[in-house]
Amino acid sequence: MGQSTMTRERLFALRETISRLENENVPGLLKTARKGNPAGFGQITSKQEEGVSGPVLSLGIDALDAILQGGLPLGGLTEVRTVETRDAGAALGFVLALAVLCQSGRQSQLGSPILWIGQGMAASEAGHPYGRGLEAYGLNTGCCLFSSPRTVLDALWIAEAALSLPVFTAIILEVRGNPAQFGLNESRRLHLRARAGKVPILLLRQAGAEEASSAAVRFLVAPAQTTGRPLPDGSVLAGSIGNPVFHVTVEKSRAFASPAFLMEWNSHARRFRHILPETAAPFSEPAYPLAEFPASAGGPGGTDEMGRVLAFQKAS
Amino acid sequence: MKWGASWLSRKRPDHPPLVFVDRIQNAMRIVALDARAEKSGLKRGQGLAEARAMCPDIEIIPADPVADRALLTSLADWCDRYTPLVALDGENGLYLDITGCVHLHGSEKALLNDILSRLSGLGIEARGALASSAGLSWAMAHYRSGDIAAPQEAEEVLSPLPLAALRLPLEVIQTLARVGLKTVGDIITLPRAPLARRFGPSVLLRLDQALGFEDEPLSPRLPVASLSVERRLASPIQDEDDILELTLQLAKSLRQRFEEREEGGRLFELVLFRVDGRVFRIRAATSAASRDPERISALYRERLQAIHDDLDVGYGFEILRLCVLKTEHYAVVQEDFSGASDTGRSLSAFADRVMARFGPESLSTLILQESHVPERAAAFLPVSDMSRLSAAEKTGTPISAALPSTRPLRLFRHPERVDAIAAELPEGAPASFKWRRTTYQVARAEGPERIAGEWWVDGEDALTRDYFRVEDADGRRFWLFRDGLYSQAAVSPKWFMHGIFA
Amino acid sequence: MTDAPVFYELGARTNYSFLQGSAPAEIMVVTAQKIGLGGIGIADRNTVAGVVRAHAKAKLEKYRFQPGARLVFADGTPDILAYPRNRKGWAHLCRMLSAGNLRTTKGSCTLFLSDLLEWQDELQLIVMEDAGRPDPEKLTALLLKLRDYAGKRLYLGMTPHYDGFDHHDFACLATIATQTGTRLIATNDALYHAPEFRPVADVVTAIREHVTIANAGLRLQANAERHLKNPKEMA
Repeated sequence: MGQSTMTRERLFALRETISRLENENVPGLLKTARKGNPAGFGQITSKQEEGVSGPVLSLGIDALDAILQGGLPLGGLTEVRTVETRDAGAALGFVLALAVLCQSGRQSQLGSPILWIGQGMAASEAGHPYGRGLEAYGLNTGCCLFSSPRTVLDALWIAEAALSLPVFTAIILEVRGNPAQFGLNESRRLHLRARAGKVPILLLRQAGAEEASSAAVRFLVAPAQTTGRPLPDGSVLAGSIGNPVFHVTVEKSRAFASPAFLMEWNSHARRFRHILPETAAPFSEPAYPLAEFPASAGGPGGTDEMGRVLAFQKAS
Repeated sequence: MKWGASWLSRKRPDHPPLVFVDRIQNAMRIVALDARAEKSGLKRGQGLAEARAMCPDIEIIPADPVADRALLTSLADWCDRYTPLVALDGENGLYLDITGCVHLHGSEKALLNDILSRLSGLGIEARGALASSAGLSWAMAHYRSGDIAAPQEAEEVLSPLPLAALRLPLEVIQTLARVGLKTVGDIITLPRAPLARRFGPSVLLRLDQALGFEDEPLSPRLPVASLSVERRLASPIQDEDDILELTLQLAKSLRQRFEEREEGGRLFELVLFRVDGRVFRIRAATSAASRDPERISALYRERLQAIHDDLDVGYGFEILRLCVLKTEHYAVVQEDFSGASDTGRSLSAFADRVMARFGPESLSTLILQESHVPERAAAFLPVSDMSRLSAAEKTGTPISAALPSTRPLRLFRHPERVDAIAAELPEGAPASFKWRRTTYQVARAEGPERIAGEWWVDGEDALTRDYFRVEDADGRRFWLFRDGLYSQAAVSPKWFMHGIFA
Repeated sequence: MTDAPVFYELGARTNYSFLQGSAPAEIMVVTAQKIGLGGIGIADRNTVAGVVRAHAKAKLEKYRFQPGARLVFADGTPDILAYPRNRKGWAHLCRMLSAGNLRTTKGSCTLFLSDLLEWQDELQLIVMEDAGRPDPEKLTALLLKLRDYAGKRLYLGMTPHYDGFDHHDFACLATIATQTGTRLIATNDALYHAPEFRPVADVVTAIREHVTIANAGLRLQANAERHLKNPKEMA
């Protein structure tokens, strides 16, 4: 009995490897494919359409929803990563905004909480979830469960246990870097379970390198400057800090572009606003110009190297 | 009782007479001794010097009350197989309340024999008796071991016994002896009032307790389960799957009794009796009243996983008992039509699994508290009751309008020192700061938000903090504070990182 | 008043603002003089009772004193400080307060904006926006309405709350003042004379709210800034 599941898992892994070799869903290689062979590009499109599409959640930005073919998949794994640990605030902000959208989308259904699994280390390095801040961000914290397991394996166990019951509005799983115990097999299992249970699982990867995973959608989030607070006469108060803004790149999706968006989260209205480049203040450039990203640097090899952990040690 | 000695001497057939000694009233005296020592004429309470003179080859072991106690408690645990109501009696006795347990063994006699022979099998030389009152059973255990007395026989049984059988203090016995009263029979017929006047109320109380006139409740060593079911096995089991399968069977047999009482369990205890007498007790809590056998056994699957290394199966377990230590009303009817209670039940099943595996602290909810001091304004609370969670959602957590939305998503439990460079005096944010070895240029800043300590908690000398929201040149947003006002502190106040914004 | 180079505290309350202010009127006056304020105005909650004692003390100390009242409305209008310009204004203020007193049981006073519109003549008015964020539209509407009656006697009070929004609030208020042609005036809305007095103020709040200090939570002030401040601090 156990044997056969093992075999099945292995099969999945193999298939995944093969699909990776076929350049499926690897944006970096896709770009090369697009340049080199437009025909090959088209071929993959038809393959892509075989994918099962479930319910989606509109993110309120048409251009982004279009890329995501309607919005955030409400069943399955969505990955959000940052390049550096010190950008964790922006990535968390983006993930939580998605969680708030999930929450308001399911408001009619009582008692379906959000489960936030923060692997112990990740939580302490970047600080602990702060109730006052979360509430102010639009999250109903009275309806959130938190768990801070010690190891990645424990975190995965809890996530799988949660996915086996279709009661959660969303599951946030925080990991740091690209731990070996959380490879393609594990992400595939989570994704399948999440899809079967129609529960979105949001994987927040701090300081994670781009690696092949089963996530249907992957975002890369970088901080971006706010537009400031407006005054009654419509002007903006200089030097003030307004609603949070993120620089979000769609690294992986069913579409073949990896476009970037400047998104502002309005926690009172609980919705995103697309800040178009021409309206953005001149200093609202992304913290990391796109060129800086190693576009799928690992490539099909998919080495599980740890993400770039820059100087973010605790000051002694 | 002398089980300690007996237990030791069994392993060594040719041992010398054995005594245990302790310092009593400044002299080493015998506190326990084995049968051979007794045969040599030694007695409890005898001075060690005198004993040595009488019997030079005795082996002397210092008494170890702690070890004695441990032995007694483990025996009490073992006795749990007969009845959950086991009480300790002093240093060397146990009371078992076997009300309602006899039928398992056929007769009272069979039960008593079973206890004594099994104890003997464990190397414990014990005396025991069975009677209708604790006092009478004590008297008989000490003077007529192996006997059983019916309630109406109490007077007849007690009369010939010495007064010590009534558990009277030594000095009372001595006073009674001085006037020629030596046996229980001597005082049974005496007028009661003068007896109490002359020798104190304890005489009548102990007499009445032995005769069964006065109730004497036992205080059980462990909480007595309101429900329990058990399975005795012909051949012991070792395999974890077998244990879980049996647990499932036990849980199934609990179900009907839960239904009769319209209850479900909140706290379960699985008691595993190992063949060599060791007893394991494994508790598992649920976050809502539960009676579903599958769920209870699933809970124990996690518990066994969690304690795997500590559960030494040895030669296996011969009795499994599932107790319900805490019950609660179980609502059979669905509370509403939205299916919320279904969700609630799945949710508590999930919580129970996680907590069974990773401990009760492993899942928590957030609560908001009214305090201006940021770290006191929100706290994590372990999930103990899932109903709280859904209740919070129904009412909707009220956000105080007094609190502006200037709180970070993450807060550092311990604010981290930062080196602030060129802060604008006196009330401004720094122009740049160094945190975790990286320098950040402050592009925008808002503040200060001035938060004073809570004088009734922190004292009146607590520093006032000035909080700033700052945004660096890349758009990272942080929550910094200056600990103390420039006017407050003699030295320049320190800066801290307290949180991270979206 | 605002043209004077020195700072007058006009928002001061005394312990006659029942269970709000916590320092006696005399102490407020003496402290104001000691820390170098150009003068002090006492405006208690819907009463002029404290003014008498403060006035006596100020006269004794030969200190510049302005009697007034803080009008607290039952219809959601923000608090307005009213300072009579002359005897007539004083009479108006007293008539208005008695009207409010008559409306309700002994010891309290119920006022509506219409009362003020009726009796505003010869009163200088300072609109205070001290609770939460100002709602620009409502505030603008109120100022425009009052300006029709009071004209140049209308001011908009600006109080630092040290809640992280002062910069933004001041900018908002300045914009509104410009839009409505109202003059701005700084006040610290003082509840007590010195920062050391905060515990007393907290206890007073706890009594008012019928809770213990430990349970008073957010009903207490977050900091000790509501004291009399010297001109330098207010700059």
